[in-house]
Order: sequence, then C-alpha cells, then structure tokens
Amino acid sequence: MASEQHDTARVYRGAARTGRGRARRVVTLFVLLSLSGACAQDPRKQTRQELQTLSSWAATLHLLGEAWLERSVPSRYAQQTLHEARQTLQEEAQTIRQSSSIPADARAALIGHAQQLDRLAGGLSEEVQTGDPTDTPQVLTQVAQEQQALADLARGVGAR
Amino acid sequence: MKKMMELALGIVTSVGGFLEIGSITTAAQGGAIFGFKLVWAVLLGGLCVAFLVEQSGRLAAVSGHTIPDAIRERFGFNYYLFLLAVLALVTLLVLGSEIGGVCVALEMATGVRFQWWALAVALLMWLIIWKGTFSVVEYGTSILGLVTLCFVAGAVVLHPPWKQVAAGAVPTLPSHDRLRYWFIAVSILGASVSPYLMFFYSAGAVEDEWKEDYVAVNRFIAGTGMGFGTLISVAVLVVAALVFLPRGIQVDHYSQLGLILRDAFGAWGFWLVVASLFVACLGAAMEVTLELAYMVAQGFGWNWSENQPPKEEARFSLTYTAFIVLGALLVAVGIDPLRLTIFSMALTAATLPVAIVPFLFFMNDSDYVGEHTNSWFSNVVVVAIIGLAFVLAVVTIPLEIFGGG
Amino acid sequence: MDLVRDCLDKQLVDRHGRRMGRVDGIVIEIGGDAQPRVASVEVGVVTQVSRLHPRLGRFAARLARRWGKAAGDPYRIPWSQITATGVNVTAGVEAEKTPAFAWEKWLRAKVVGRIPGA
Repeated sequence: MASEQHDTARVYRGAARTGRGRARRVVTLFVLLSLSGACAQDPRKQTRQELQTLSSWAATLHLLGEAWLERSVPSRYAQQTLHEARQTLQEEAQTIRQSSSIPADARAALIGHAQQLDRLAGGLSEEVQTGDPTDTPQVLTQVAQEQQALADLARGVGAR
Repeated sequence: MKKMMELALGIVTSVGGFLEIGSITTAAQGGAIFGFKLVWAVLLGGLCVAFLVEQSGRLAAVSGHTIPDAIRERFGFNYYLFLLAVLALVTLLVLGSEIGGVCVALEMATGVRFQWWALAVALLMWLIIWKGTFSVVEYGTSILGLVTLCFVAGAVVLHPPWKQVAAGAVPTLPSHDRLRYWFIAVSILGASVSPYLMFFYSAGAVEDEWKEDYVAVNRFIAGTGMGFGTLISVAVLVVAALVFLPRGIQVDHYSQLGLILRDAFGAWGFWLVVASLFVACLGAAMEVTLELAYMVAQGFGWNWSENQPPKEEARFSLTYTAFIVLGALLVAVGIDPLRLTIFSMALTAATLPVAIVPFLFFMNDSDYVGEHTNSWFSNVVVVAIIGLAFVLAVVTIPLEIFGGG
Repeated sequence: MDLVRDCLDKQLVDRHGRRMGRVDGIVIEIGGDAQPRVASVEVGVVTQVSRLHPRLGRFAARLARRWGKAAGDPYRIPWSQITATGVNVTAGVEAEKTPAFAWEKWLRAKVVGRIPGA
C-alpha cells in the first residue's frame, strides 16, 4: 500500500518534470530565436538606425547653433551639449566601423559624415568658447549641407 | 470653506506634482519620433491612474489605512515582503532617475556635469524632509510645480494641427520602428501609472487626516487633478512633435531637452525647461523617497509621519535617509539619467500587476471601505487595468532587450 | 472574533495609541484535555522570519539569542492585555518600555539624536 502510494507520487512528479521541461525548452527556443533575430539584423535596418542617429545629432547641432546665435541659450549649456554631441558622434563612428551588417560602401560614407559632423561641432564649440559668432552662420550652413546629404542617403535605403 | 480650500490645494497638488522626469522624457521621445501617434498612450495612462488614485484615496479616507497597510493585513507578511522587495527595487531606480533629473537641470544651468550635483541635491532633499512637514513637501513643490504649465502654453503658442493631435487619441501603428513604438508606449504607461503615486496619495490622505466625508472631495481631486496633469504630459508630447520631429531630432540625450521650448518662447524657453525639470523632479524625488519609507514603516507597523520630529520616529527617518543616499549614489556613479529613466519606467510597467491586483480585494471589502465599495463599473475598470498590466509585464522584458537599443 | 482576519497582521498600538509594530504572530496553547487557548501575540523580526520559512526562523532566533540587543525578540504580549478594536489592535502596555521599541530607542540614542535638528 505504502509503496503503491510512493509509486503514484513518483509518476506524478515525473509527469510534472516533463511538463516543466517542455515549457523550458519552448522558452529557450523563443529566447534563442529572438536573439538570433537580433543578431542577424537586416543590413538596411541597421544602416537606417545609424542614419537616424547621425541626422538627429546634425539637427541638434543646427538648432543649438541657431539658439546660441540669437542668445537663447547660455554658452555653458551650448558648450556642454556640444561636448556631448562630439562624444556621441565619435562613439557612433566607432560603432559603424565595427558593424559587420552594414555594407562596406555605406559604412565608409556614414563614417565620413560622422567625422565631418564631429569637426563642425568642434568648430562651433570653439566659437562658443571664444564668444565670437562671426563664423557661426557659415558652420551652420555646412551642418545643413550634412543634414541634406544624410537625408538623401536615408532616401536611398528607404527610411521614412 | 475649509473643504473648498482643500479642494483647490488638492487639485494644485495633482497638477503641479504630475510631471516628473519619467513623464517628461517618455512623452518627449514619443513626440519626437512618432509625432502625435502616441497621444493615446498618455491619455490611457492618465485614465488608469485617475481611477487607481481615486480608489487609494477612498480607501485611506474611509478606513484610515494606506495601501501597504491593507496589503499586509489582507495578504499577510510574506506577500507584503515580496511586494516590498519588488517595488522598493524598482522605486529606488525611479528615485535615481528623479534625482538625476534635478542634476540634469543644474547641469543645463551651470555647465557642471550632472553627477557632481548628486550629493548636493541629496542633501537639499534630506534637509527639506528632515526639517519640513508633509505640507511643506507636498504643497511647496507642487505650487512651484505649476511652472510646468509652460509646456501647455508652449503647445498652444505653436499652433499645433489640433485635428491630428485628436486623431492621435486613437491607437494606430506607425510604418517604421514598430519595436521602438511599443517600447515607448510601454514606458509612457509605466511613467503615468506608477505604484509609488497611488501609495503616496493614500499616505497623503492619512497625513492630511481625511475622513469618510472626503470621499466626494477625493473623487473630484483625483479626476480633475489627474486630468489636468495628463494634459501637461500631452503638451510635452505635442511640443516635441512640433519642434523635434520635423528636424529629425530624436531625444537620444537629455541635453537636447533644453531646446524643446526654444521655438515657443525663445530665450525664456530654455530657463522654463530648466525650472520645470528642477522643480518637477525635486518634488517627485521627495515624494518617491517618502513613499519608500512609508512602504517600509507601514508594513512593519513602525511609527511614521512626515509631521513629527525625526527623533519621534527614528526608524522611519533613518529609512528615508538611507534611500536618499542610495538614490543619489546611482546618479553619482554616473549612470546616464535618460537611460536610467527609460529603463525604470519600463520596469515599473512590468511590476504593475503585483501592485494593482490587491486593489480588487480591499476596494470590495466593507471592513475597509464600508458602504463605499467599488461599483461594478470601477471593478471592470480595475480588471481591465490588471489585464493591461499583465500584457505590459509580459511584453516589457523582450522590448527592454530589443526596443530600447 | 476571527483571529487571522481581525488580529493577525493588524497595526498594534500601545495604550496611548502609539504605533508599536504589527501583530506578527499569535500564540495558541494546546495542552492536555483543555480547550486550546489564545495565550499571547508576538511582535518581532524572529516571528516575521519564521513566517517566511521555519528553518530561517530558527536561525534568526539563534542569532537573536547570541546578540544581546535582540534578546527580547520576539516580544510576547499576554492576550489579557489585548483588545482588538476593528482597525487597530490595542495592547495595554507602554510601548517605550517594551522590547518592541528596543531598536527604535537604540537608533534614537545612537544615531538620530546625534544629528542636529532632530
């Protein structure tokens, strides 16, 4: 009698274990699938993402430059934001360089834009530091050109 | 007369105290990337929080009990401890975000990096809580918090296409970045429907000694206060959609927020953003701190009140001191405030079910709310919110991995 | 009265209405042929921890015995001094003089009292 009960219990426990095992396998499969989905990213999608980030910072530089020119923002804030922008752009160039999913020619173009924007941010930063806005409109025109170029690129990969 | 006064104050508190770093950044990101498409998420969040806040206020007014009290009493020590562990962890991250928001405001104003401000901000908060009373914390910060109405003014000045804004109240899928869309939607909901707000509201009702005859007052305050508060969040989203979206500025960094009101107010815009961020986050940081300490003290039955001198309640006052230190440390080590905010808002959404399910029990328990139990309609709403919360909890974790990046 | 619903986990206040903890446990005496009898209520970390798991509780009790400061844990209040009045449970004792306030008093003396403005 006692052993019978024991057996039933074990059978029951065994069943529970298989059930849980199956659930675990399903979860693992799901996680693996989604991870592989994340790794094997669509190259166009990643190019698009990088383009968005670069455009976002280009537009930030432009708006910030305008705001600083009309004295709508304090120089200390402009300086700090430009510092942040340069850091992000440099990191971005690094990310693009290491990305394996972006095609080589697109990679070169993106890195070029990131570096150009970084240079322009550096130029703005110097002007903010010296407090001399003479060249700022010219830098802003160059930033606008970059924005245009990035928008053209984006159209090429079918973003927005 | 006294009630009218309290009614006015209560609404001011809810409106002035509504915005905090989470609602500002999630709404700004949503507007910057998806235009008016996410208006529905802000409205839905506001609707849910109005219902839940009304219920926690009613519970406190009728029974004199806060939500943590009731959870410990009805669900026992073990569930309370589980809930405390989960909520304290998430709320601590929220506290870090709020302190981070204050520091970001100071960085914008001075150019000195945010992490250097963490300890100064912590000290300021601690002094106000240590020396001040509940009214100082509650009314002081929320009256100053009315400065956040500048976002509403900004939205009106910029003449948005109101028809499109209204159309955003109906959910639609975007043609691009669907993962990101859902991630931001979840973060917006997490930012509005945060358990700390409901718990704090119930503790506030006890601190202000609300009684059973406040049920109507409470309903009005919760409805109007949260309603107007939600409008400010919508305004942030609208301004971001008008200023950032056409230029292609995604809010990838908190410093970009300084430019959000420039089109509307020129030079004033920057300082209005700084002031809003500073006041809103400082107020929220103190409320979150107190809420953490309330949650611990109430569950363990210690003496608690923000209106007594600290030595009357040593355990309570040391608890909030410890939480302030921990929260400030998160900022001082240099964790990016924007990332911390987005992360903790999504995580808040994931913990909602454990915090909201108990509502269904004690809002229908006449031992607590007497004759003021939930109507069938309120119960249906709570069940719907719980359902929504479960969906959010299940989808948040994968979105955290794939949508946020 | 329903012990679990109306007494367990309720806010415990002393005779002046001061919050002194929660009813963490209820002690029931079962002996011989006599009817089981509610003997006292317990307040303290040791009782709380035992509710998580009995083994953890035994461990906490050992720690508490070894460490003088927590020797009075769990603190038992005889049932005769307890009145359950709906929302709260009142104990006819002076909270300040009971072991339930040991920690509070220690922190007040050693930490909070030394901070200016407290």
